[in-house]
Amino acid sequence: MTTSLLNLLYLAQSQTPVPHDIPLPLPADRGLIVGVLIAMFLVHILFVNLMLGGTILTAFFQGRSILKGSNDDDILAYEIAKTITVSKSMAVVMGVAPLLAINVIYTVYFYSANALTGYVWIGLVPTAMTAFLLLYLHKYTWHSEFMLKHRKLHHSIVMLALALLLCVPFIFLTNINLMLFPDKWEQVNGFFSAMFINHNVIPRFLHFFNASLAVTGLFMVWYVGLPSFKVEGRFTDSSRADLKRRFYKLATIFTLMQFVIGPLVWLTLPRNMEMVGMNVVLTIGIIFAVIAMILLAKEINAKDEVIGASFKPIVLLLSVTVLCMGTGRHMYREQILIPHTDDMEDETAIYVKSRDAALELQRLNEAAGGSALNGELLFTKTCATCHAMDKVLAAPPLIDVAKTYKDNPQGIVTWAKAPGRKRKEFAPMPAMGHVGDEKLTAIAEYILKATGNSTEAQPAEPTTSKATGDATPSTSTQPVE
Amino acid sequence: MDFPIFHMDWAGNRMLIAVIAIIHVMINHPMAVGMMPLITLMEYFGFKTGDKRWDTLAKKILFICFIVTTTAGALTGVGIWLSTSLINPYAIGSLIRIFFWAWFTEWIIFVLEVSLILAYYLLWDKMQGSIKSKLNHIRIGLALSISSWGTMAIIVAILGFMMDPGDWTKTPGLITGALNPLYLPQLAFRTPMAMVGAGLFAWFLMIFFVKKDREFRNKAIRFVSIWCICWLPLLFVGAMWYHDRIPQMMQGNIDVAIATQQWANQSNNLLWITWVSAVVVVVTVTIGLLKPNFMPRVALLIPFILIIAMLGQFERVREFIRKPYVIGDYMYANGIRVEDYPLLQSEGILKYATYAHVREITEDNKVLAGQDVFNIACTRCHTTQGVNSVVEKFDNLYGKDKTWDPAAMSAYIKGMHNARPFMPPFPGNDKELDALVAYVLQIKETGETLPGMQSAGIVIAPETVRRSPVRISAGDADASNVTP
Repeated sequence: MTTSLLNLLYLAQSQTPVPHDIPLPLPADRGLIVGVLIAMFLVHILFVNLMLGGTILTAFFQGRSILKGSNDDDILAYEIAKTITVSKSMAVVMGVAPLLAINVIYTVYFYSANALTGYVWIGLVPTAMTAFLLLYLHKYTWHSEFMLKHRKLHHSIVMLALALLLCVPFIFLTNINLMLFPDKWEQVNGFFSAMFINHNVIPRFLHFFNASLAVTGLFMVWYVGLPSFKVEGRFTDSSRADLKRRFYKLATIFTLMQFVIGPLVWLTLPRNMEMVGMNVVLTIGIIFAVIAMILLAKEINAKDEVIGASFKPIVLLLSVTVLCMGTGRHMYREQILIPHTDDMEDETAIYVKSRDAALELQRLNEAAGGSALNGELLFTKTCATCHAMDKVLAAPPLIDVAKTYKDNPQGIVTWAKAPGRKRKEFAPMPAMGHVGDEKLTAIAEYILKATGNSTEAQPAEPTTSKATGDATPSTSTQPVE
Repeated sequence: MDFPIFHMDWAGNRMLIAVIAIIHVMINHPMAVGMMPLITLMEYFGFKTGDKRWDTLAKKILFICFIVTTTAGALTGVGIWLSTSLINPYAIGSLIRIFFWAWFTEWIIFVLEVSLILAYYLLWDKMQGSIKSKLNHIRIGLALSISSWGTMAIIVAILGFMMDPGDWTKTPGLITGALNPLYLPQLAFRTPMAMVGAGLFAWFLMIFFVKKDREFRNKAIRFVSIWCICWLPLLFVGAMWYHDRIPQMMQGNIDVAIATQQWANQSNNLLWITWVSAVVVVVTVTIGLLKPNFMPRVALLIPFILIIAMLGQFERVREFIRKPYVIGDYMYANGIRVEDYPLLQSEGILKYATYAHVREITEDNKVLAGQDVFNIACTRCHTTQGVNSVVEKFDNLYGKDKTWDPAAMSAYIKGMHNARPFMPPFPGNDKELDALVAYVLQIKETGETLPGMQSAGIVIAPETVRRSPVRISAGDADASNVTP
């Protein structure tokens, strides 16, 4: 009773497609590929964070410098702009490994999600390309006379690049969210419907956005601390310690906000069972983040001489947090897919069995059929598509053609291998060299025999082929004029 | 069959891959693989002769290549992957499983390449200080040249594999896949092609970079002319070797590849034009060597455009000659594996399709079933009314204004792979064939088109759901107790 009720409930909801997997073994131990996925994805996302965070900060500082005329802001904006173009190249190249790994482990899920959001998914390429070109344009025209005169125009270049860059995470997040829920695929009609199959995409975007500014803040603390980064004589209102403090504050504010957004991401995760393991790992991550927050608060309040002393521990602690979040995310992915992957494996196994049986049957049939050169059979397979004995199909009838080649099968073979075009009313005949001389000769001999143009033997009964002949109503088509 | 079907019914799916791939190759070969060694050589030459002008010119050329390769070059590279996995996920999914480690190695070299080009360009001025640091900078250029070539060398193995997997179908494995008979010839062809392309592109850029200094411009032209002349013989040897190795059946298709079917007889002319452009390149390069100041600006553009056109032409032919396969002998261009054919041809593709409206064909659902069959079996290459339209194909065969005979069409489709060896055999059974014909007749009549699943969404074939409810009721034992 309850089972059938559940069945009804299930059917009333959407159906879940259960495709067959690619029937090839994984190229390596699954655990190893998972390791590549988690580790390299974090490296990738680090550079993506630096790219996006850097672009936001460049746009912000340059905008403020235009509004308030501050020279410090302009210098800072340019310094950050110089780093973006490096981060973006690294972001792309580091994205390849996780993409490769996800392609291998989640082949069916990932490609299905890609196909369902196809236009926007492939739109990634021109979007990112344009954004990158704009970032170069922005960087390399910074000190040009024209741009110095038209600073707002110059600023609009980075704003446009930023707008494009902000689209990219939505595309990725929508895809990797969609791939986890095959039961929702049926509801999807294009990208925008895919974005809202659940409520997880927007919180994750905010999570990523905050992370970008937090990571870039920390990066800048390190960057302005480099001996090659000149402060004295360049900056009018800030010392090196001021700059460090400013970026520490930035990192702190956005890390703090993660304590709100993070739980929101967690709450909006659809779940099909208790995810204890994931929750434990995430909690460990949060504990490390809390310790990092305490150190960050101390750094902000530290004296000028000692600011930056806890930088390494902070980075280390937050790296552990990030690793925990990445691992937890992977555990979620695995667990949510278990029931579907089981179904898919079963379906694939059944399919492979049927396929092998059919393959074996074909082999047996072929072995029984022998491999003698049967001109008629070869004709049916090779030529009957366009030629019939006494009817016009897509090509002239053979009783017509064969007269030219009386007792000359070799002539037919030569023509077939490199056909000319005698009758303009038909499309030109394709070259048939791929069939091979032996078979072509057998076909040619059959044609001549069947049409009574061979003196070697009695004219055979004109046999219309099974494929074309009898089924074809002879009057209904006069295909080509 | 197993993936939602992405389909661009107007431009055709192959157009998407072709546009991205051709842009990528046109950037990658001349501007990365070929140009990096040329720039490094130029820098070294300037260092040896103490002539600063070489250094300035090399850096200017590098700037252009740096911008283009790290934006359009890198992203079209990823774009090839994204577009192929949209259009033929079956093929790319299989290739990635076979070639995971090759791709992984390529990725490592790719990381190296990107890091090196960043260092090579961004540190150009900083590393001018001492002889030692300048030499180190030149070494970076050398390492960059090697890694640029390395990424191409690996990806060519995969391309060669797709055309002819050698013994792979018998003994699966990475090495047998990579050592396929087309690998070395293709590499021997592409390498000098990239080098000559780089020379011509550098030449083209010199028009803008060395305007006034006539004496130096002549020197520079002579320099790249020698570069090109050194590589030209290798280019011809490579091209011949490559052409020679293409399997017999594929060679039979080449004349169709260069133009469309109707143009088959004119393919000789096209081949001839290719030769002409080759000769023009040789002549231009020779003039550049002997009488560099004789070269007017426009003349510098011609050979560059020609070599780009030749390159594009070769890519097009390569794409075509692997037909009817997408992975030689293993998977047809429609994404269906050769080993799946016996099953599907007897029992039908719709029986095993994940996404279809119809499982059992009746008189009532015939056209809809035909649409499913068309979607699965034809859309990777054909559209309804757009580029390479199936209606247009039959128009050519039977006449646009005539009534087409369904029986003749069925017979045609059933045997077309014999008459037109670039076509895969029809993968379904006879009922499906009739349904397909009914669908084609309808779209000819109505002019209707077929939206891809990226906009229309999916329809899940009827009984695939059978397994899941059982699992859910078993797994949710607690929930079922609560249900009154």
